[in-house]
Amino acid sequence: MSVPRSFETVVLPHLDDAYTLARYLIRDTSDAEDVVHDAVLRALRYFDGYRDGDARAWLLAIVRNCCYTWRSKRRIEDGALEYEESEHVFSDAAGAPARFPADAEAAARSDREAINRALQQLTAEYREVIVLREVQDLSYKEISAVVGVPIGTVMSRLARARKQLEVLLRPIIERAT
Amino acid sequence: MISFGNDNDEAELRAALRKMRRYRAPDVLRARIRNAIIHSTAERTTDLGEQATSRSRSRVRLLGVATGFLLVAAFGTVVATLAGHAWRARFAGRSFAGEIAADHLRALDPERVTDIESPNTVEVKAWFAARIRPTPVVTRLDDVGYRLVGGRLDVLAGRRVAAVVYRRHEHAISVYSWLASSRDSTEVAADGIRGVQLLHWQRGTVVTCIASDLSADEVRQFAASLRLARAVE
Repeated sequence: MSVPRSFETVVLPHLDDAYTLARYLIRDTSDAEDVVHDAVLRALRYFDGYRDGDARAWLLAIVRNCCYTWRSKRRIEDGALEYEESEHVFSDAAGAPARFPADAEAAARSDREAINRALQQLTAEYREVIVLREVQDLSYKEISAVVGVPIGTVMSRLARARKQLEVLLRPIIERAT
Repeated sequence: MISFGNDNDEAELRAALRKMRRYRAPDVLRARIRNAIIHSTAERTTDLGEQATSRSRSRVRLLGVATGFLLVAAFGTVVATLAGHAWRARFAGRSFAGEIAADHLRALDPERVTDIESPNTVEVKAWFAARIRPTPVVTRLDDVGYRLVGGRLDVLAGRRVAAVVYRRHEHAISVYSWLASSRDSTEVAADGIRGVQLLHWQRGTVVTCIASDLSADEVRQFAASLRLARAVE
């Protein structure tokens, strides 16, 4: 007899992954919490229809959809409002003296801040594939399931997103060194 | 620090990205989700119960119109067989369940609710750790209205069992756990013996059984809180 599956054991272990994706797609902490909360309840409602498979990808797909619903409700136009906000943050970073870190940990933190700002300048569809692949370590197949596009599209989006990140990060790195 | 300008740009970038932060869901969010799921599960249980009642009524009507004597006789035979199985299964399980109910009632004696009395999960767990394997899970449930009182050890049907004790208002709840003899899973089942509601399940090799004088619904709700707390923590 197999151990009965329950929502708690199948879905809830992936709560941190769900929250991480929401934090990168929606920057505001409390909004990200609200979206994950809604997404988990939605997952609970649909759990009867869930069959054996990748529970993490299943939950992340629901979280992603909830993030997009939230964004469309807030009428955030990709690349418009977000870009302006990010530019403002970027100019702060350029003028900050923290680019001369005192130790390795400070250097790592500084790198993370720079990358985070660059990530926020990407469109959501590029940012999500980068986060899912590089930060959350999902396979191409899993990303394809979460995002709902073919694997080939996932790969080409990743390649373009990496190129854009390199372009965005280069001036900051050069200014700091 | 990350640096670009060479052939390994992509590798550098990917290595830097892998050091990006993976966030941990805040405790507040976990608690919110836990409470929302408990309420949602309670509503679903009620809905499903009502649906089942309504469905069974329609089926009985349909059956009455559509079936002849032969079918009824065949149906009767099947029901009698299943009822026999169910009765034997209940009878077989009753003696140990009865012991648990009796133990819970004995423990309601003011002098013997717990062997260790503490609201501190770490303290209660450490007390068990020195006395029994596997150590039972001791979880905080204050936020959903169940106060940890302490724990005790009992021997039931020759089995050493750990009992973690909670209280909700004036009602005591004993959460027994012991090592099962096989890995077979057991579906949750509720039963009432001498006013004590029992609800048990098995996960892996550990059986958990809740005994309380709370109502069957309240015991189910407590079980949902307990299982969620264990899963979310």
